[in-house]
Amino acid sequence: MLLEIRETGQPRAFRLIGELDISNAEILSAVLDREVEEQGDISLDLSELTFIDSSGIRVLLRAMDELNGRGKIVLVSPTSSVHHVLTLMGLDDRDSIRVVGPGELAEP
Amino acid sequence: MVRTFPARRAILREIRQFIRQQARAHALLDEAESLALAVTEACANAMIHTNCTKIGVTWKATRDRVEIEVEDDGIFRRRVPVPEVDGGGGHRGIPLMMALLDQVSISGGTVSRPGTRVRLVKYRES
Repeated sequence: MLLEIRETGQPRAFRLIGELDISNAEILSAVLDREVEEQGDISLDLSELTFIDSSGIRVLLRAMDELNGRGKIVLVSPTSSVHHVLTLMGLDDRDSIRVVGPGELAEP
Repeated sequence: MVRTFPARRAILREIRQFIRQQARAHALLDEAESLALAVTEACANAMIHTNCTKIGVTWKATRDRVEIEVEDDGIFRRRVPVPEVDGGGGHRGIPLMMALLDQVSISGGTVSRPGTRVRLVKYRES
């Protein structure tokens, strides 16, 4: 399978495994559509996501818009190639999206 | 090196594997993921914006650059994306390709001469 989305056991926290592109962005979209109805941060562990394209970025931005200030999208430990795309598309520069390393989750 | 792929979204990963393989074979390890992403965007655009059935990907690496051509057998639907209509989140594929690579050029197919062609160039770091 190209993309797997696993619950981590924490509330509103998921781990993305594989490659996210236009062929499977809908899978992530379905998960996030459900979560954005509630308020609070949504955490996505990206340490095993090896690829993201503009349609994956689009899903993240849409979830951010739908949260509309009721929480942040927290992107945890992106791989270097995914981090590069997040930076190029300005996601690291937004108040409603937080990109964090593995040790930074304890802070509020 | 030319490979032809069916124009299906599920094939994008296979197209990326082809690009990564070529990048490795031509000592372009640092550029592999940027090239794979740019080609993914070009192929996804072909699938979204044309009626194509297949996509040809040509790889050419020289001493100072890599040139990749993505050619489909479709006709580009000529229409300008409008954020108010299409949503603000989309249509970032071409700016993303331009951010990743050194040259991006696109020529649209016509009814008499179908085939949209995207030419992507990345210079080797000297």
